[in-house]
Amino acid sequence: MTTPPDSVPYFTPETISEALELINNKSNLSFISGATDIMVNRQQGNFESDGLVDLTNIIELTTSSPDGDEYKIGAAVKLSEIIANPYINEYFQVIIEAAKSVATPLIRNQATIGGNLLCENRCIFYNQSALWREAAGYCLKCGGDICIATGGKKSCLSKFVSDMAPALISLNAKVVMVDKDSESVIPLEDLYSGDGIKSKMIDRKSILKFILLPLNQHIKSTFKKLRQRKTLEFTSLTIASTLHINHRIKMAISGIAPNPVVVNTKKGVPFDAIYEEINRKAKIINNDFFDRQYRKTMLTTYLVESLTELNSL
Amino acid sequence: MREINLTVNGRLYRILVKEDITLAKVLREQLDLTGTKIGCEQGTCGACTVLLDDKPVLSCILPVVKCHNKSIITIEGLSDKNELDQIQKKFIEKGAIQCGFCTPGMILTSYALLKANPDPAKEEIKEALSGNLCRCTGYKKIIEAVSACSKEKEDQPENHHGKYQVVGKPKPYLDAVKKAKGTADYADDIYTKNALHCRFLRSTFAHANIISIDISEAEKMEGVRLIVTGKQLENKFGVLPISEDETALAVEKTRYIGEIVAAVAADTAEIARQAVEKIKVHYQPLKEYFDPDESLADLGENEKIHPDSHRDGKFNNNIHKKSELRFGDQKQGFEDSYYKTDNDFTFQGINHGFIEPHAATAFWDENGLTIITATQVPHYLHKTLAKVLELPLNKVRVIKPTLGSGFGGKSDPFPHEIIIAFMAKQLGIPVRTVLSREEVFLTNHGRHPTKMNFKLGMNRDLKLEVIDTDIVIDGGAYGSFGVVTSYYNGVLLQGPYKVNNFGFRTRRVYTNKPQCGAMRGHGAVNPRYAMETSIDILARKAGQDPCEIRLTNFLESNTLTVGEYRITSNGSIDALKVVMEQSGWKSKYGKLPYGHGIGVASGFFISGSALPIHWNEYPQSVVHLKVDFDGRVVISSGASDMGQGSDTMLAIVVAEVLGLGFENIFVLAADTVLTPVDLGSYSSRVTFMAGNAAKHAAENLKNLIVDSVTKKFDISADELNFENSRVFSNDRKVDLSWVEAIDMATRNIGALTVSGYYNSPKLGGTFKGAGAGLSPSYSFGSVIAEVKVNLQTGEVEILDIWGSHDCGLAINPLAVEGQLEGSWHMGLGQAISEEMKYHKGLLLNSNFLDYKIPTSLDTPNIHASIVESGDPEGPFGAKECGEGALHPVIPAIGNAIFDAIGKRMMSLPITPDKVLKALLET
Repeated sequence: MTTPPDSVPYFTPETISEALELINNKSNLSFISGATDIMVNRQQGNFESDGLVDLTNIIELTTSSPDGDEYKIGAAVKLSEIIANPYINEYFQVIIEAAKSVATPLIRNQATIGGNLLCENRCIFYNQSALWREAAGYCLKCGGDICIATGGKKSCLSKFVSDMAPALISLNAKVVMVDKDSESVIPLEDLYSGDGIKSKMIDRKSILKFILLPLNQHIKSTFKKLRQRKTLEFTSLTIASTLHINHRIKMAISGIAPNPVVVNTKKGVPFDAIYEEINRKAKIINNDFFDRQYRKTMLTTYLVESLTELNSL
Repeated sequence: MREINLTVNGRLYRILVKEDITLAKVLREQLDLTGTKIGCEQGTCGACTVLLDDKPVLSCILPVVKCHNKSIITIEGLSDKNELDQIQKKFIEKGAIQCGFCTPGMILTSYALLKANPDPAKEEIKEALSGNLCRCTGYKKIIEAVSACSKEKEDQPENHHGKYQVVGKPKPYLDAVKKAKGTADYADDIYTKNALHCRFLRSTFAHANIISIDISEAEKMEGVRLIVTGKQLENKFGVLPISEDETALAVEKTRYIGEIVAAVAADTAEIARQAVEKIKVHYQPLKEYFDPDESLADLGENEKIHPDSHRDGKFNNNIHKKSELRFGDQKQGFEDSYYKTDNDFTFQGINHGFIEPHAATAFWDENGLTIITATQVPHYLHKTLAKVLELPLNKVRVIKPTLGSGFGGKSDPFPHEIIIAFMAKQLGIPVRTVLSREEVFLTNHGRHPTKMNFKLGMNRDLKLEVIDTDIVIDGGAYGSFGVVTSYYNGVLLQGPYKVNNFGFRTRRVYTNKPQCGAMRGHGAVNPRYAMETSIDILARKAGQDPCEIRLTNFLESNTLTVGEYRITSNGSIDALKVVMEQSGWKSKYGKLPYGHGIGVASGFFISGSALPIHWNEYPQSVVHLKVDFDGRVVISSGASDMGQGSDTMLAIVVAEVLGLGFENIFVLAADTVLTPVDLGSYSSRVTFMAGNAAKHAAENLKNLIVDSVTKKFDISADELNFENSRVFSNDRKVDLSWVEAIDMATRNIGALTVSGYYNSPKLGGTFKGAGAGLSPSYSFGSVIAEVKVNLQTGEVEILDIWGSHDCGLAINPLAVEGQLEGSWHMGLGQAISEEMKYHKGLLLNSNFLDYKIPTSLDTPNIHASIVESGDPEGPFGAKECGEGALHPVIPAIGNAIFDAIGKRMMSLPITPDKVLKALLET
């Protein structure tokens, strides 16, 4: 049984360079933003770190504004602030819809957009207490040698559960990443590795600074989220789809693989072709409270609905 | 440690904190602001909500360092100079507060909403409150309270019985103000000097022999004061004396994952937790039983879960209890039936989901043992502690503080209570503990997972001919209330309809999972689903309106059922008619478009068990009253108010009899030294039994006062009136204030003390099992539900629930409505989303994220109607209202789904995947 130590240091840097200095000079620190997931994971013994570096006091990360032909959102902007942002409301309704679908209004007063993009993958056999995991036997994601969900020994297929990521990816969002050596701009979907254990391409010493959204490039978006109750829950399946002015459609899906499943297509492409591509990338297994078959069926249902809405324009 | 500045409720604190500690812990443990509650520690229940810079946030997952130099408002900071904020007043006035544990969070979230949006629409209120769970109210009165702050609507005329002064008039709970202010003390809020903290090592094996327990490393830790293992507490206990199969800690073997194997008392909770990790247990696994079918079968060479059960060696299985009763002739009944149905049903386990976790503090002094604990039944815990710790009864005191509800889940004596009591006695130092949400789920005692075959027959005249059912309930590792549960699964099918050929068999089996026990609607909820679904099936077969079938078959008033239950008052017909009327049943049933449906069900329940669990002649409830020179009547009762409002009910009853205002009433409850025995708050017995005892006591007190006044003024007793805190004669020649009357009555003898009691009349037949389900009175009710089914996703949207319940008479309509709305909400959860899911004996959803209690957004419009049939033996005609209402709501939803899509739901919960599967079946 592992549980977090009594207390670890908690740092509150006010600049990016201060934050980077901290993380590089001390061993095994972790960045923390809204803390809403990490505090729960710590309570369950699923998150070990010798110290926490809170990024929410870095003013640069807490503001959003248009920036040339892009709209720039600070990674530490709270989801409730996103929902209240008039600019985002006017130009990116799908982001509002996605933000409103995350957790509860209370959690959204604390949780940040960056935290949501980087939240840890989930699995009903992993997001459990220390007692549970000891009793069940440790799975691949917590240092064991077998996947409880599949019985397999090779790969962890924990679910990617961000609701913000599909919406942003469908809008062709990019992210600005910074570490001690460099700053880079990459498409948001490139952040994700597809590995259920280490689900991000970045290491724990990088900071997600901004999300950049191209302005005036899209026509309409759709957003669908599957969950049992109308609030609180992590997704069992989230699909965001956006029709762009060049008639391209970009879809991004959470909850069906260790990373967001992304499809670039265009208006009028037959459903079967799109479905086939998604099906090839999806790894839906029984690691959710909704069973595999239902999620597969719902994937089709949501896809049809989304494409119908966009193709009808 | 780190120094931070917090401005809390306008006061600046400069404090040293652990760097990564949460705000909730700092508020509660360092600043003594215990109005902020901890219900889940995972940000899922909302009980810990505080305002951070005017925004509601979850303090249980908020690192306190984030609040440095910021302003926080907790519930304690909302009132100004003892003047409550408007939202607090509305919560009180509208009955939005039951157990009160979610109240601080609910009020603060509502307060923030109103500040940002002074006139929110109902949907906006539901959205804003959707992160705050409430298990008591069904959110209805909470939403009304918030709504009332923005628009002062005209209050509806009060449901006031003309013939009574206070009975029948809505009365906010006596403790509602302190619950609204966050000053009510729940078990974990009570500070005890120098208390040690206890934490538990729990089994990671479902069924295993304990070969050895090595505590040597843990013992060496500084701050560890005592480590207890099973062999130190070997005496068995169980809430039912006929089924004592549990020990406080596992002795020799463990029977479920989560069972307590060792316990550590240490200077801090953190040290205790670390010490627990250092204890090493060597287990030898045994064959595990998770499937009830396996437990029913011959176990071969494998070890039974309870090897010493069936000492005669007759049965080599894990059956705990088999109960079977048969009346009439089921075979003949089916031969005489023209319409028949025979189906299998499956039900998952359900947890009470109270928001307040179990918590307790025990100490030992010159008076022996005292335990302050979150319990529904102080009396049984008193007896259990005496037995297990081998103490005389006069060395045990159980105190129930403010209780954050229970729904049956705090009615057994619990291992953690026994263990800390033992530790306190051994050490002479107070010991406290609070369970985590996971531990609460593992402690369970919830509704049994159930499989049943159910057969129902009806003749050509549409009269029910026969019920025959075979039921298996999965009891988990220990007995709890299971013997009673196994009977209630069957016997409570003999109402509300008249059926002469009735038989059932229930087998309760042990499995290696957390034990099941009593939960709201005890034992009868799942068979009610089967029964009401079966009636719906027969109504369809007969081409008849299912409401009319029910109206044709309801039992009459003042009759006996086939199993010799005495039915007295019976409002079943009125209850069904009122919901038919309100829902527009006749214009909707069978007439709504595909995907949209309406369904109905009825139910009934006991008002307390006529037979006590412990066989003795002691009354089922005793109430003492004392009045002294100051005129204040102290009501002393052992009944546990857990948020259902029993203290307030007692006050109303006594106030009514004595014509007193509430300023002259003080309720002292649930302290086994100070209050007389009441058998506890379970089986919906308190209003009927403690209410009658209080009425009896008040009448005895009134007689003493009448005696002294009539002697003094030489008038006859029938000339005297008690009203408006005055005692006066018809001609007003005698006209005394209450204090003057008491002054007269106490001359030369001092304070008056009287006693009242309630004993159920002798009831029932003489056959074995005749006592199960006997009650001095039964409640009746009906529910109609309207639903829409999404044909693409299988999601069921419940649009409206119209419910009615015959509670005899509503002593406090505000409380009765609250009980009904809460019951329907809880039933709704079992119907559509709640279930305890297991993976190889491991509970998969021991938290409020994954155990899916409906939120405000998932809860439909609920329309409550109180039906008053006037029970001849209930206090002022009152009977049960806290459990029976739950029964019909689940089948009403199932039947509505059938009406919508033509598919029968034979398994709960009715989740979208099951509905979609049914829709896709041809």
